[in-house]
Amino acid sequence: MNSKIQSRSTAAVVVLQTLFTLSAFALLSIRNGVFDPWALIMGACLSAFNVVQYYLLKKMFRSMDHFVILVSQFLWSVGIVEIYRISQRYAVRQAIFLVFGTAVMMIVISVIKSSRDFGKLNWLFMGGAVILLASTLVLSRAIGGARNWINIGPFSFQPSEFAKILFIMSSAYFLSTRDKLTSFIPYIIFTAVCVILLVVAKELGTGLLICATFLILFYSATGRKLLTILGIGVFGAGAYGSYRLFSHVRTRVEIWRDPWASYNAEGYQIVQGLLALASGGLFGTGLGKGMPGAIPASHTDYIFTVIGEEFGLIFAAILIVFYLVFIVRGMIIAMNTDSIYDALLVFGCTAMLSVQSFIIIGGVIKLIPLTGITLPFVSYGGSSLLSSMIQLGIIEGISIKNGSRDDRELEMMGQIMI
Amino acid sequence: MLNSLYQVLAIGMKYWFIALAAAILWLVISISGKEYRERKTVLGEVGNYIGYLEIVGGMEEEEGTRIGLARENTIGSGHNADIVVRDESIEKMHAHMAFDGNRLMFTPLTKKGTRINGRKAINSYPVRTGDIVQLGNVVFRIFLRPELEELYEQ
Repeated sequence: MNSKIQSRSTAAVVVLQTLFTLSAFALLSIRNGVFDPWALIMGACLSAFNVVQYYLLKKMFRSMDHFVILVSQFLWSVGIVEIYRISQRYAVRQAIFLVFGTAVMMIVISVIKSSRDFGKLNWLFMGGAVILLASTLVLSRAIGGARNWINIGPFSFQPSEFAKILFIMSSAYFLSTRDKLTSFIPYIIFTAVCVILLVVAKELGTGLLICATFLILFYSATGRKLLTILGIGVFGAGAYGSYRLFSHVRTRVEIWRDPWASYNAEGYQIVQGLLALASGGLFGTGLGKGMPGAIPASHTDYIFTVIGEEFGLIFAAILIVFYLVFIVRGMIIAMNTDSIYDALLVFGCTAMLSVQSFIIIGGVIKLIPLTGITLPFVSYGGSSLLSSMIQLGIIEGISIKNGSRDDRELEMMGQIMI
Repeated sequence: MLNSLYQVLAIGMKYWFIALAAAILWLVISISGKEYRERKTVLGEVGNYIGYLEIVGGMEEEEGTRIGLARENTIGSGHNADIVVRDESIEKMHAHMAFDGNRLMFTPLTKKGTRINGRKAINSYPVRTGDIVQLGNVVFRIFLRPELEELYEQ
């Protein structure tokens, strides 16, 4: 028996995705009663880009995980279709970020697949994360109530998006190399400082994200139930404390409990989002027939409601299952690793992406208080897309590492008659 | 004209998009499930072996064939043996190979027709990677996983 593992053909998925992108942009090209050739060009470029990216990565990196990348491609294709429908200019910018992000992702894959745990560099990562988060307080301008943007010339970027990757990397390092409780202290202080900086900068979504990722990673690395429950308790106390201390936290909870009471002010966005989802119904209004203009931040944080309105709730549910597939594949890669550091790194990225999508989807459907954060891969935003793609690169890098180890094993024992 | 075409298409295509997304999802899940099972089977079986026997002489057609070694195996030409080698010169139950925790022990079960590295073998004898064992006319080379091989040094 030939014991080489055959990778199954994924061509059918690529074909269907191309069909999706092309047909969606074809529909958008006749949306206003006038023919818009740019939509077709955009659709063709995006499909070609996806196909080229997929086969290029496959050629460059054997034993890459196909499914994680295919799922991400579907997510950002849906995102760009919907962003194009809202604003052509944003869609073009998102596409440029996508190309740039792919280059960054390839670099990350190459670094991760041949690296160990970065050792002492992790102290630098920790310092970098804190400096990034602190810099927003000094240099930022406020967007949507949160001070989380920095302008450098014509570009603006969101430092917290990159701080969270540094957070995952140093978490994986500390949790995999230490076992005495006291040796975790610098790491725990680091986490607390990050969260406090985020809450003060009014970036509650990312703060929540870091807390949740910390608890998940801590539990999965140490398996200490009591301490994790204690951690949840501290988190609850902290949440309550900031609820009492900061008015912007209080407002978020109040508009979550009753958005209709402040419909003309803070609750407007939530109510409009819920109305959009309701007017879409199960099957949606049809692409281009919804009213995303009525929802503030419809192309970034609220893109899920626009998708729900125009594509329908069934489609939106399918989108959530795509995230689930991503999470399951990420966990499989994490369980397949040799070292605890690799496992925690992959699991950290997976957990962070999944918690992030939970926080924002849960927020817009009024399941939990809304905190502004982007929907990974789908929302418009260069920093957000770039950081999601770096996390994707980390996951793929470790997957390639696993794959080359399995290949070595098969090489050594190869061609065994079973 | 174009506008009414759009209105009709937009309503019709909502179902098309849902169907496409569902189809992509189903394909991704089923293909990845199949690949996962396949990978697990292949790596699981390979992972169970502590090494292999490679046929290097005596059977021209089978030369180069690798036979996986479990922790304990019997070798012979009879169908009761774990590793069946169909050759007239081999006894029905010819030899026994087992890993005792430190070493792979080779034990001949017949008085004649067994050689280890060219010398006639009667008693149990530890073997390792590169050793040549001969059962009847058939010559095998032994390969043991390097991590097990290291145990010999201790």
